[in-house]
Amino acid sequence: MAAVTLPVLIDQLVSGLAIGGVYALVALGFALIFGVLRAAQFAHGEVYMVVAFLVLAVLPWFPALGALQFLLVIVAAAVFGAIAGMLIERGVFRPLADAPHIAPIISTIGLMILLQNLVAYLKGSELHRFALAWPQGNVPVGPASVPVLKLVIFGTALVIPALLQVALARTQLGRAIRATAIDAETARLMGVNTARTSLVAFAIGSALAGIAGVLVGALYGVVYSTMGVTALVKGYAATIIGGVGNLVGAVAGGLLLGIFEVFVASYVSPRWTDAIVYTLLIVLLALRPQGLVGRAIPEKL
Amino acid sequence: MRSGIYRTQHALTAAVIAMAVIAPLVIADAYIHRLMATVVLAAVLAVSMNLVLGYGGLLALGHAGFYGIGAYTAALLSLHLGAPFLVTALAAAAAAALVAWLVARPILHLRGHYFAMAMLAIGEIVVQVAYNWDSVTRGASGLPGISQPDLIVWTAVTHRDNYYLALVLLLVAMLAVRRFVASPLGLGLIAARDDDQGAASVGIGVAQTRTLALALAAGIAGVAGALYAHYITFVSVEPFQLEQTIALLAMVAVGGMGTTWGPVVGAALLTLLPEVLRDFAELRMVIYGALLMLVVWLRPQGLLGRGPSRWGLKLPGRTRPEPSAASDAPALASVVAAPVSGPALDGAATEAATATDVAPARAAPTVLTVPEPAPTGVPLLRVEHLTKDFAGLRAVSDVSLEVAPGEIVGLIGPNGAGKSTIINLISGAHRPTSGRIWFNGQDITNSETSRVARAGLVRTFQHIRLFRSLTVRQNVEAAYQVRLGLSLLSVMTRSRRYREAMEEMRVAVDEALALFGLEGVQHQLAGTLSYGDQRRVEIVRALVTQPRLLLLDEPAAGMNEAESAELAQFLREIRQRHSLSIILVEHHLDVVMEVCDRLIVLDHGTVIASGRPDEVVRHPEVLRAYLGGSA
Repeated sequence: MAAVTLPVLIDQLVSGLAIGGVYALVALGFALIFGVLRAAQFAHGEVYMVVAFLVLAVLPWFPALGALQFLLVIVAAAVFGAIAGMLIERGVFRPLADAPHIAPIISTIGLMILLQNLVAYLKGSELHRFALAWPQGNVPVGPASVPVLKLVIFGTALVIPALLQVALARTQLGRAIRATAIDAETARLMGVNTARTSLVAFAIGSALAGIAGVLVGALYGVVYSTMGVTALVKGYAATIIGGVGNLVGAVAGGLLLGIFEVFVASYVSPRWTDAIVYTLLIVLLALRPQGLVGRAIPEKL
Repeated sequence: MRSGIYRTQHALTAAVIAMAVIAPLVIADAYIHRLMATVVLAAVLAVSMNLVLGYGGLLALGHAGFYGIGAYTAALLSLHLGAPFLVTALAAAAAAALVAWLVARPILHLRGHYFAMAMLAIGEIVVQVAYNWDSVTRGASGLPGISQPDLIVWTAVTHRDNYYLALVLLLVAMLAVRRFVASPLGLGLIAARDDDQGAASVGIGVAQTRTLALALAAGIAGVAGALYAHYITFVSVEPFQLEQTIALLAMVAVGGMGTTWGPVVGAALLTLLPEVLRDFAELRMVIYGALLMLVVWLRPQGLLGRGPSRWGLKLPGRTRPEPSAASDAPALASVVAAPVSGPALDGAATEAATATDVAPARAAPTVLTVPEPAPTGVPLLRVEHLTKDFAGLRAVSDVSLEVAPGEIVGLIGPNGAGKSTIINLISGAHRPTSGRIWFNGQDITNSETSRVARAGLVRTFQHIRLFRSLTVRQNVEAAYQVRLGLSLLSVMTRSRRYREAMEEMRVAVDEALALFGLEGVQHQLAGTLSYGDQRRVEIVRALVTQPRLLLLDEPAAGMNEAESAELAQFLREIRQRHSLSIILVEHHLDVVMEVCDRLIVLDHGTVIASGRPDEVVRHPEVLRAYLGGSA
């Protein structure tokens, strides 16, 4: 166990923010889709995984020109994610719109199994190297020297939700999405094209998952066919910590979860991190059932 | 006719069981026997998960964890103490049920995805502990050398022996789940699934009932774990991971949630599917995933899932009637008028008298029993300085009021005056920001809705909250059963006391349904009734809990004049018959004027007038609040 010095603390914090940023993007996408469709997308982690593999496949065609390559990777991930999301919305969720709540869950579980095994079949189930030309090296932060990569990942995970927040608040479509999330029936009566908003929400939510997928690939330097399961569970947990239906909460929940994990691993036990995190999650749910950030919304009786 | 259907079902069940017993004797192939044992073990897990998922409506994402707790408990007892299977199986059931019970108590008030997350966390914790606690579980290398299932006079050695053992366990598990679900406790569980607020409003302990169901399901999964450990003679983490829970979820959903045989069929199909697809080698799980999606697309309610209405599947022309005020007024059967096949109210009273005469077998006709009157002079309900803020908005501000025994108090005021909020505060649905509420001498300020209801303060809702997948009769039974206070043991053993209680309930519910002219529709699903009949069912459901005080939140909403006049008549009758007090929130002033002894007028969250109806409506403040200006 490292001695607790300021540089070490900063390093740990940055690591926590980087992985937390990935969780935040996954959670934000999950929460956005959940908010609009009122349905859990269990293949959300597979979108993250598949997009990472797709980007890996097209990576050789991108010029390895520092930040340009990084930018192209993010854009490609967003585009692949959005396409995947729209396909899933049309192919899985739309046909089951009037079905029991459990039906889309089971269907996305089927999709999860399908995609995981398809990628394993096509590319093998081993780890695949995922390296970007940029960002490399370290940069001084106060007394510490931290990898630029982690800062960039954290920055990306802040900028994209911020842009999304502005878009949701300022644009017609954004307002339509928010209205649908609050009350789909009323939104429809008010003339919102809810079919289109759910498609757009799915596209944006899945684009976020795709971006998270390439970021985590860059962070760890590898991608693999079962990486989506962890993303789903962690993203789900972050959504819950933030409070379901609360987009800002989802981002906060993801960052908190990431930081918490790194600190537990550093100061308690790397081995018992998951067990401790899940135990505290249960305690949190018992004490604050509406999530850490969420506010209890009294139900209309 | 019903018995005919039952006979066919029983014959079918017997045939399936007979085949399951004979098949491995005819087919002497160890590979087939192993497959069959695997299927039956999966079916035990799916059947137990179905209790929580299908009947409880709870996304139990940690079920494999309970299976794991059972398996490790059995393995450790067998390895360290040399305990035989019968002992380890009991211990495994107890350990899994105990963990479920301990963890469930604080989190079972959680809704939907919060509950699912908590369960998922339990499952993950089990896996992490098993994987990391090397000194006990030997981590990834697992625990070998567990004894084979030993039943004193016989030990299961071959795959076929173990198959038979698993089959016995499956039948016991199915019987246990069946008994639970068919019992009053099961009615409470399903009622809470359909509408947890509605269930709490009649006194059903939603969290308690769910804890019981979860503990029972976990106990069954625990025994399955013990059998698995002794059968394979080795345990490690793999079979208890999230993937197993997800597979179980798929089995239950594909087979049909909330059905007796659905989970078994689902377990058989999804366990055998990868075997059938073996020729596709690495592609088999891809096909498995695709087929899973296909089945859900074809039959979202599962292969054995019954009518679409059960799961709220909206098909063209089958949309259920929504109780919206505007649309249903003309087509309404009124609250008190005769339903299609029932007697009118006047007739109902006579009918009731007859019903009491016909069924005097029970010493005291339960529904009609009047709770012992509260001491006179003491208010039944006393509300002191009640205030409620919603994020900066003061919905109720320093309201004090009293209700005497036997009094009907009208709570009126313009929209947004705080009437429904007061009902929600008194009934325990919301917590007041400040102030106290006393009922029958007890401080109920921060009590849960179900506790308040059991104390005799029962509400109905502005938007009707019936248990839609239950029949009218079952709706009433679900409310009535609360007072029976049956234990899990008596439900499982169908003890004499249990049978007596069931008989008592049958008589009492017959009586209540007859009294309110609902026996003609008693076997219809509550959600399919007309709006007026649904209102009546909701009130009957509240009345069989023997309340002292009934809170009615806009019962006449969406009714025309004739219908609301009949409602007024109906309310006076039940007050007389049941000697109870009523707080009536209502916009229909004709109803209010007609039945209320006293009116309390609210505006902007405060009481602006209170007194006899004819005085209050002339009060200047009231006129101002209703008509505006300075009248």
